[in-house]
Amino acid sequence: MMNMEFKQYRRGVLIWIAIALLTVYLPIGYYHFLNDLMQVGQFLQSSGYIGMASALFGLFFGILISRREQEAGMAECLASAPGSALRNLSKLLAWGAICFILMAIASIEVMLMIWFSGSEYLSFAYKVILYIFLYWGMTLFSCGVLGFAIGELLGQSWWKLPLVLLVWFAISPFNMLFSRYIPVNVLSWLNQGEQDLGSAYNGVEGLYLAYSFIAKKTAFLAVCLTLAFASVLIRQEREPSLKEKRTLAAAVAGCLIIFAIFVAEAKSPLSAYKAPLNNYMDLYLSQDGEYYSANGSSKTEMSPPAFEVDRYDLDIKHTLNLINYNAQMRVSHVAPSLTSLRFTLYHNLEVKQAEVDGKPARWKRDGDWLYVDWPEGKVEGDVSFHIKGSAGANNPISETSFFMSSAFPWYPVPGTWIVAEKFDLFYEPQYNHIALSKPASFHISIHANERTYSNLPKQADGTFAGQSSGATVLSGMLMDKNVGGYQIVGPPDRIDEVGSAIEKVEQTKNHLSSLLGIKAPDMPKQIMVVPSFSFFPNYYMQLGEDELFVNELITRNPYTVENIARMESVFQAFFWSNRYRINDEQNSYIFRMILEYMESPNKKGTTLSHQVREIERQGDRAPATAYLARDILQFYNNQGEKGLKRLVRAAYQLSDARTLDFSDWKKLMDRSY
Amino acid sequence: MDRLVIDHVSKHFGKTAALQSVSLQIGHGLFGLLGPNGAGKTTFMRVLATLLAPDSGSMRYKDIQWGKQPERVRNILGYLPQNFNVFKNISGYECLDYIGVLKGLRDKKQRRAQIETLLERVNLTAEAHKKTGHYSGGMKRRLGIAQALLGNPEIIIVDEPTAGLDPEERIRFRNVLREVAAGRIIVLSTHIVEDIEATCSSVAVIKKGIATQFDSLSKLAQEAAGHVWLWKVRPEQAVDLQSKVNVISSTTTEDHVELRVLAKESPSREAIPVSPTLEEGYLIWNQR
Amino acid sequence: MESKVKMPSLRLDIRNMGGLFYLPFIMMLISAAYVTIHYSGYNDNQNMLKYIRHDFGVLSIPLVSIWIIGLFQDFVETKGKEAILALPYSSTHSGIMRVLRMSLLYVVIFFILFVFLVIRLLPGHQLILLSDICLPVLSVLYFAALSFLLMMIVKNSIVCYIIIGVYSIFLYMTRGAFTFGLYPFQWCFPQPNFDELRCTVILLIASVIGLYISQKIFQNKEFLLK
Repeated sequence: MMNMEFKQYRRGVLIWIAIALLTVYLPIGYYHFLNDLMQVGQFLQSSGYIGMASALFGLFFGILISRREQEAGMAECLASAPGSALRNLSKLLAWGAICFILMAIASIEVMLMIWFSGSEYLSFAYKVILYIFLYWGMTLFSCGVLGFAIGELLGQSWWKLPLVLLVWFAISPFNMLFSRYIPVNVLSWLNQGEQDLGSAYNGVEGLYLAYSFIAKKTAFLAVCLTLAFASVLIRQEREPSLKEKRTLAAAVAGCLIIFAIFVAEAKSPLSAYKAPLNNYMDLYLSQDGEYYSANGSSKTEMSPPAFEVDRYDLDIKHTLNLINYNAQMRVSHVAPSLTSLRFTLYHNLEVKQAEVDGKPARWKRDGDWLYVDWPEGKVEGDVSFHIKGSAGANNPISETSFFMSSAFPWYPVPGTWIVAEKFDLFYEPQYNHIALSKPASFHISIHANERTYSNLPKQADGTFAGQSSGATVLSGMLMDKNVGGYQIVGPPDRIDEVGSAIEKVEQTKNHLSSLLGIKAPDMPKQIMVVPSFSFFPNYYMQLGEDELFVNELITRNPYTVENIARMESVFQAFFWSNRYRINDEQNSYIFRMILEYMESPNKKGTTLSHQVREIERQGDRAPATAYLARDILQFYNNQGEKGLKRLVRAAYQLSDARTLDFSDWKKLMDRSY
Repeated sequence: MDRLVIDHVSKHFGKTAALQSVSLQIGHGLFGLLGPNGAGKTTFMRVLATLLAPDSGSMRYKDIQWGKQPERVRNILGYLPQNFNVFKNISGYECLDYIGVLKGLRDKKQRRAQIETLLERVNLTAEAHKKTGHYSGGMKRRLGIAQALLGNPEIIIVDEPTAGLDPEERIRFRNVLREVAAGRIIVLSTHIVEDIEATCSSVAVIKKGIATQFDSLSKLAQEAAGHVWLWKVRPEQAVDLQSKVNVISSTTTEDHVELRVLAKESPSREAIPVSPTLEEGYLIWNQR
Repeated sequence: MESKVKMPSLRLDIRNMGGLFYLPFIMMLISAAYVTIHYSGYNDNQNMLKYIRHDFGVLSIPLVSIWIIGLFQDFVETKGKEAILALPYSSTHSGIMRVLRMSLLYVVIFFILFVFLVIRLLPGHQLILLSDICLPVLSVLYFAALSFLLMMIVKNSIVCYIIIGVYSIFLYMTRGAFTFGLYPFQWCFPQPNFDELRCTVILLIASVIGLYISQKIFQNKEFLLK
């Protein structure tokens, strides 16, 4: 029976057209992308339309398959044969085989192109192939099964065509056009393609092959199979026997059960936020922005710790966009009068349980601060927490990646610190550099589907241990390489570019060091490309405790990656945000504004000039920074570049001691005159 | 001898009764099912071929019950439907091979041997490997009977097999049926009386879903006994008489026309009573 | 039979298509309604025309294929096509003229809705002959010619839908890359590197060639009979 099915495919023209189209389009598309210096991941994600074409092809082809015998006038004769009950099954199996062959051809083509172009995605071959099979192949197969059901049920009725178009639209990314009228969750589940066709590919998150997506595909396939079996039950060429009815009914029931199981698993945390947010970054920024606007930075109880943590044992599990871990800490040097230990832990990481020396302890949360009761007089002991949650915009966790920085309280950090502040100047909250005051011993176990990395030495797969003032963990579609003496972890095909940009960062850092008159911090030997933590150019880098984090956003294009070496970017990372500094975003902005002005050949296009133009535009309503910018511009016109450099150096050295305000800037400029 | 026993089988489509309590007993050999268009012949054939389930009644052959064991029925059945066609892009051999597999002929050698024998029997050996898209109507019919014979079925159901065939093909087809009828039951459904006359030993007539069985063809013919008249008239009279009496057939000779007329009484003093043919018996039965 | 049958009446063609006639019409209405509702109140006049063209045109332009495919189902696909092919119809009137007639009707409906959208959402905008009239008309004609050609060659409506559907998706996806100007979505989803006049001319030439070849095949009854 399968033999006959394959004959029909071979002797028909459509499958050959499909193979020809695939064979022609993929290399053309890939060549196109290579010319634009876009990489494999972006190419695959942008080829999401292939999934849509597969869906349409599958739907119509399924109708053809179901109607084949009727169109040929052979149905009645075959229906009387004993083996006829298996014909429909053999059709579906043969269709599955054809889909497999088509996807195998596509996979081979894509892998050959990756190999020819020397791409590092070769080491992620299994992911690329899985992507092709899931996004294109499974869509093609499921839609073929669904088209079969439509063909069986509607026969020769013209309603087939509008139904196919409706189904195709409903399962495409375009269905979000109706997000105002239909729940986003439903639309997101129906969408069998990319979440957002136009979105840029995130190299760290990698290809979206999360379990929830696989579950969604399986659930959709189960629905299609349900409909196919039901259609055969309802509309056979002959009346089914009791045994056949029972078998088909059992098949329908089985598929429905599979659907029920997987549809529950198919819920991605992001699907509820699909409109207007497009990705976790937007979601977290929005959440953090709201939180830190409402919970301002006026806390007065912040204080350094009155105890030390000598050791951290962290056992981390990554599921969906959350981490779930046990943190066991060895606390020592506790001040005798202390009855409560104060920690800083990002507010969205919820504490489920607390124990002191193995006994349940009372604990309390106050925003980003965590208090746990401590027996008075006890000098040392063990504290453990069970923690679950997400780590915000600065340390984004998605379904396929996560990043937790050594300069961020993703584990309880002794003392009460301001984690982030929200200023009027920026949409994004500004996160403060928070690390342990004294190095501690870390032992971390990570259970994740993707490769994991850390600033700590690797002990085994997923296990890291060592001494540090902070622990970084990073997971995603990543690889590591030594480039120019730096150990760089990043997405494939991006590491070399980052390596060459780092050399320029080193140069800029040294230049700034002499400009500001201070010794530059050492360039860490560990460089990590991490999930985007900011959309702003100034935040292309962050300095951890002993590693440098590069924002994945800037590495998407080989031309733009060099922008990390710009003065305002290097300044922000190495000379401002690299230490705990609060209420001072304004001055960071001013410094960056001046440095950008100094560096840019096009002065009129700089932030400084733009601020000055705000005075013309808004008059009295212009912000104070605009007037300061005007003064700085005048200062530059009078004193030139040297004067500006002197101003920057003096201001920076003064900012070490305290927070500057506008009058300080003005005084410094007057003094320079 | 085992008989195919059909006992009060009924089938309705909505309010329309396609079959009303049909009871027949069919023995080995060729059995004809005669009836006008819309009488229920095809419905009956489909019920027999297990494509439709009857609303009431039973059918059995040996120890096989149609209602309870349709899979067993299909194993002993060969069916040639009224509208038989095949995929245009496969050859006759491939078609038979495919149907052979569906009929459970798993052994490739045996299947091949059977197919070759059947192709020879239906005189399609030369065209066996040509695509069926190039077959004439007669060739397709022969292929149809070949596939019905695959698996050596004990019961063969043939629905309107000679419709659209030329006289030569029709004769060839009848010969094939006669050859294979030994030791099996062949139910031949048709509205062409000649086919029944040429091949069948017994017949049933069906009208509006009701069937009447006749053990021999002559019994059906005798339905018209005393109703058939041979009347020789002048040619110009013949044209006139066509509209006045029920003329079944006419034979033109040099100087006169012989009319066979169906009437309860003699239409004229010159008309003489003659023995009825099967067709005339059928027509009389149908008029009741 | 005394005289050859000229062109079948439009009413007959519409009836023969059955429900399929209304499908593109309804989908155009839905697109227009969507655009009206979605963009009411938008202040972005500079880009409004672009949005209208894209959201209305992307689906509306290729859907003419449904009408054209429906026109010729009787001639090439049905079991009774032999009887139809034996009728004394005029090949020119029953072929290319019917295609042009249906395309014209389609274009009229298309423009009624498009003008309504422009008046509603972008009052004061003057329609430009090349951009707003010639280009979309020829895009529709191109799809009509393509559908006619495919129906003549493939003789299966479902296969034609597949080919046109997948072709449209690939065109849209690649934004006309490597088509050298043969890009019927230039009006609604323009390829910045393409010149509109050039596109218009290429579409016109391709449509004429397509119609000519299709008509030639349509005249070959022996081929249609297979």
